[in-house]
Amino acid sequence: MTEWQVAIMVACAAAATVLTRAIGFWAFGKRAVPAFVSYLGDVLPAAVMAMLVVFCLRDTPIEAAPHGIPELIAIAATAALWLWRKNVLLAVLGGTALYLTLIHLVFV
Amino acid sequence: MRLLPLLRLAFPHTVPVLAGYVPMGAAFGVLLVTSGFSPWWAPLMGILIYAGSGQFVAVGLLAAGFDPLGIFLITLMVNARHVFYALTNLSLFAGFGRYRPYLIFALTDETYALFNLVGENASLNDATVPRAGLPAGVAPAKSPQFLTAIAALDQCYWVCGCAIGGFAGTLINFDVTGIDFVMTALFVVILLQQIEKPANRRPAAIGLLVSLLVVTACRLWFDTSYFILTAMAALLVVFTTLYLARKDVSPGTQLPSSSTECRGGIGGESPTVKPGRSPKDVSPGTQLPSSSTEGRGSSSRRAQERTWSEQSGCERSERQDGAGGES
Repeated sequence: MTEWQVAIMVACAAAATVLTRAIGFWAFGKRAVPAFVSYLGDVLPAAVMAMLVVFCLRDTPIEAAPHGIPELIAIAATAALWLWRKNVLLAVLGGTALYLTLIHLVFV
Repeated sequence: MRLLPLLRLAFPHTVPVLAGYVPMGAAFGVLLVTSGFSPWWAPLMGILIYAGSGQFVAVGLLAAGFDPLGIFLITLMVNARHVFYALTNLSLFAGFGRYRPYLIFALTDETYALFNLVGENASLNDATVPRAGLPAGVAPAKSPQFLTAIAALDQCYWVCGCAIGGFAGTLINFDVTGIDFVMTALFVVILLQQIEKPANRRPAAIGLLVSLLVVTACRLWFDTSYFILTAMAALLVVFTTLYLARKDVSPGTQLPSSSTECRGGIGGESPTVKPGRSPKDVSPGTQLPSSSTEGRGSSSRRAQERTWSEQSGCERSERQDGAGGES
């Protein structure tokens, strides 16, 4: 890909991001929010976050070794760290460090 | 200079984001460079796109080849949750004038979270204390200048992180396979944080179940690159169905067979929804003959509701206000 093609794709990603952040303000900036929209506003954040977790793991090999075991262990550790200290940074970096250790040193 | 005291006032509140954005941005920069792109794109994407998960996803899409429409649609879907951040800030940003566009542009997950934290902070809501850099009589938590300072500091951290990762990634040559687990871990933690609120548990469980069904269907029958679009469509169908069912059917009412079949059909169909089909195409209305003809436009939902309650013969409950609050 040429640098110009990269630039066009980056511009598209930027435009889409701006659109997602601005569209709610454009649509409801001047009038009352319909009940259905505020219902979606209530239920979607948690559902979308669960979807994003699955999205990250969508190509994890399950049939072949290591059968998603490193991912399972690292996610459990991330959750445990967060429940223990309620510190986002500690949980995220601790879980990632464990994951990197597992895939580079243990399940090679 | 009025800017410096303002940044000094905002800085302490942004430290958690500083600690998160620099390593996360660096991980992004390393991922981008090891995928074969110029390191300059790391800070540039941090400035122009400024979306954590969106940028991580973008790396994979850039590596897959030139597809502007694809990256636009997938970024739209990955960042679709931002639409709902607007809903809680509508009135707060309403009078912010020239500060409003940047605040909307820079409303990431973390900045949104900080705005919530700041809004809860008692001393920052005290308008009687004069603050250097702010107009008199305005509480920092309600002032566009203070919130813009927070948003701008956050973006600085992110861009710096991206640059560090981008340029250090070319100097230090190491295997970064698996560094994108940072993103997985972040989402897991945010999800855990959300389900501390009991009201979020059912939506999270539905989201997880639907996503697992969709990802299984994707892996079996087509490609996981369609996952976000398909899962979003399926989620919208499921939540629309739940919303309509809740509004039209009072709890404990025996559903006639036609309505039960309808709901069962949607549940079974959603994971195999074809990519690119709009949620409307698979909405409950399409299975009901009378509303499928008029199933578009602003009156479609009302039409669906009416058809639904007529067909099922159920009494329409008048719990309009309770419908949203129960979740």
